[in-house]
Amino acid sequence: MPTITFRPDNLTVDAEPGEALTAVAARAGVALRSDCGGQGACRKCAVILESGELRDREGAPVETRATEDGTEVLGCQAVIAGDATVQVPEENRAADLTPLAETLGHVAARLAAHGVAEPLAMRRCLRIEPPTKGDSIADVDRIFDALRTADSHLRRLSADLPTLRALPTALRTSDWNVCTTIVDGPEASDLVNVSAACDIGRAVFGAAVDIGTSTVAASLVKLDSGRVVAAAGKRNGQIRYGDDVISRIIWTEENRGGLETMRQAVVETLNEVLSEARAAVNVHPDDVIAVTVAANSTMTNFLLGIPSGPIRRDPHTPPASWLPLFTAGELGLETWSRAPVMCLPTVSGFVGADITAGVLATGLDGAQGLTVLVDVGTNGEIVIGMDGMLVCAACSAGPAFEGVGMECGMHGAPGAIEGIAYNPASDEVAIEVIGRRTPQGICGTGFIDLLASLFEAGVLDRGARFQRDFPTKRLRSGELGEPEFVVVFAGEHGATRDIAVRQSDIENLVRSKAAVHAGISMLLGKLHLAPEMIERLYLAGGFGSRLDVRRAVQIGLLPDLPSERVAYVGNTSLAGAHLCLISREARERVRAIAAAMTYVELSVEPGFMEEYVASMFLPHTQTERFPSVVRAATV
Amino acid sequence: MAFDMPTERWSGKLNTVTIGAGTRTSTVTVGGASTLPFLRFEGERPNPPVVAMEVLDEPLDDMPPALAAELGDVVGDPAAWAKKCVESFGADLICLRFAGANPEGKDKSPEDCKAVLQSVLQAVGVPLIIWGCGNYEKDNNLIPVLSQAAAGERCVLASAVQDNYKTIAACSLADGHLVIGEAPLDIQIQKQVNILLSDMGVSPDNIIMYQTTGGLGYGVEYAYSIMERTRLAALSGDKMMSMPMIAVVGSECWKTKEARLSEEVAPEWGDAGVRGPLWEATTATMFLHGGTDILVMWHPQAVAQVKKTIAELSGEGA
Repeated sequence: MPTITFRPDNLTVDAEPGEALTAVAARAGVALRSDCGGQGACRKCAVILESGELRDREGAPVETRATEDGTEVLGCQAVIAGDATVQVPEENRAADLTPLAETLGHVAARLAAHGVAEPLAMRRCLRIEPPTKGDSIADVDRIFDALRTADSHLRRLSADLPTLRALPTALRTSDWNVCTTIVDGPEASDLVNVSAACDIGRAVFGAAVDIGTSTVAASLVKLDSGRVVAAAGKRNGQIRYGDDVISRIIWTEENRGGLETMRQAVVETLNEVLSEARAAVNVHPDDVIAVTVAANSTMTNFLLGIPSGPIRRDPHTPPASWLPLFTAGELGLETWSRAPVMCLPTVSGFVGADITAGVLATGLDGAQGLTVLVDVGTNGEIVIGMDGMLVCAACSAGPAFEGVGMECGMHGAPGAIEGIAYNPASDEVAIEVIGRRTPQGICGTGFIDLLASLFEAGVLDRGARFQRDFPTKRLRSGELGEPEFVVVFAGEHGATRDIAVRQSDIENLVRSKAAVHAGISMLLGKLHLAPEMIERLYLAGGFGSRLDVRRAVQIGLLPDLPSERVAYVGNTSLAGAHLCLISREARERVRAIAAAMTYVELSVEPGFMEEYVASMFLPHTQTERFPSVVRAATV
Repeated sequence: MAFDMPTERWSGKLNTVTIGAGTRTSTVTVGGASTLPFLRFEGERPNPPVVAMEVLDEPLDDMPPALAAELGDVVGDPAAWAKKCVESFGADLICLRFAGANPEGKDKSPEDCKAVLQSVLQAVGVPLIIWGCGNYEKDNNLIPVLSQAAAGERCVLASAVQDNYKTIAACSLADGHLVIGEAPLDIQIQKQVNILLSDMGVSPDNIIMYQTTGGLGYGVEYAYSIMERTRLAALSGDKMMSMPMIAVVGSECWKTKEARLSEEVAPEWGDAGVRGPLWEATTATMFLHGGTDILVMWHPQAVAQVKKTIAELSGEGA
């Protein structure tokens, strides 16, 4: 299998001969721009071919152009022929791609290992036996017979009215060569389209979508291979109506037509994300024939236009936990209009499909021994899995680790600082930037590193307050005299402006980490389990592409566990949606997961506030719970 | 059949703290208990609670008649006020509060405050609690001056809070004083303040804990349960919660309408001259049961009543 290397990132991925370079680049995490939609007109996807060979779609050597930088090739026109190394110019990278949509470690491995088995929708081209005098069975039964012969895994088949209306003409004008689309519904396999235009061999795709309160991410999945060919992510456009679900629900209740406005906002964001992912690999909307959506309960409601008032009021009831399949057309998604849309099931008002998806993706439902999934989004969720038992809880973490609400914050996208190490002796800050670009802001993992690093150096005291007398040029009085620490001065690492974190930002982060830690402690306590009994902890979320577990423990975000028991798994909500897209078993399992999960309401637990306040300290007020951090500090 | 009193065996013990040194003619020692308050059958409480009487650098504009009648004309003269508290009313300590330094009030200079402190140090021989004005910025200028003026006297400096503890901690280290760590009725924040002070180098033996307690009728039940839980934490061996506790009773009680209103305004509430002191004594007694070691009080009658209660509950004169 050819290996393609993308420089300057030195990202290497395997590719299949004939695969489009843009698709391979997207998979590597260096999505190329495509302003003209892959027509070869805008030249925004140009790369420099350093070594190896690329061909065009007809198999001829691809057209090249000699420039000052080297041999230029258009990404949208080039397909893989063998090993190659290409240089991607900074200006030709698509913004805001992949890390948000990234699944890492164990979950990524699970995804890669999971084969396609009964995707949510499939297209099949069939040659139908025409009727004769002696064989006058119905048109639709002819198709069903042909489908059953071709695929033994189909369930009971049915066809809907629009399909029946189109059927007689389609069959006869195509000379009985038709292209059918079948949706694998929960009970039946539905024939949803029969068309004459049978474009044999044209690839079809599905979109796996994660709608978070703050960010929307999507993967475009090729339905025959089950592999992600492109990904994209963006801030949820609903942010303008409120940072958290509660304020957004209130907004929909207090404004005329508010619910529909809110719905449109997320549909718009979703369409932008889908369009960006499609453009990266030049896929037509009509070739996206299935969509799976993992979203928290409120986001699911908003997408569907269901009033969410009851979610914010005691006892926080969601409208439905299991939802039927919808069509993209009725929801306004810019894919094939008859594409089925599966919204993954929710558990409660505050534990949504993002979590059932996460459980599915991490395999928590089958975990032996105490296994914990912690998903840090705007709402933090914790699921405990142990020998078939699933217990979950939610806590309001706030969007700090997603970079929302902070001047210097951004989500884990190229340009985000994801690694920070402060050296007090030299007063220098070493940074790692996603995509090795000019730093633009700090994402979740960067904030974790920053807190830990400043705490370790003594710039922050254990109450997470800046020590103004600390000898550093980086600490200064910002607006209204509020202290702030400059991580990157304008000019350092090519930054065009100072990237500074304020005292109030630090407080936001500490509140977030306290809520998450308190949630973990309370839920474990409820089950009479102790943190040190955790055999495996999966941390999920869009923090960034890498996470230093030791740092997450040092600030008290996670319990004091040995690093090898903790795995950062990235966006598991998206991974779960991906699995549901390509596997019937996954769709059945996620339904079972939602039904099996027991929800514990932590906010009514008497000790929650106190546990929360105790966690608002570095690493924690009860230092005995963090022996490794205390040991490190005294050495 | 003989009755066996069920008793609890605790693993922890309160820190023992001595206030006063240098030119002080007496010292006060609190803490050291190995059981909950007044459970004499169960464990030791070698040092019974004490009463500090509060003296203000500036007299109150609206001092209730019940108080004015007892304190008389000394309220304009902090040294005389302190002397009267010790000699006539038996105060174990004097809590000197520099409310007049607050920038929102008289904004007295650190030097003026220092003169007041020196006069009080001369007037009385008991140990002192030196309480700032509560404005962080001002206190950070004021406390170092006062601390230095009382260097070596082992006074108690008040108060260190989460957002402002460094200056006061540094003063206590430099001039050999104790520190009050204050928290807003929150057991976790109290512990955080104690840890922050310890991280600065203040020995846990030099810290006294203060939860912002109110007066009877204004959330004292909550204060009580916070105190009790703090004690239980100490007795269970939490070293960062093993400090003695102080409660500010006088100023809080005399803010309440129940203590202040005259009988002309509220005849059904009875004699204001009895009601006010009773309100203060009742509040103080409740905190005694919660585990308070130092009570800061105002009214001499309330002080007398509470001192009697302490003696009786501690087994003296019973």
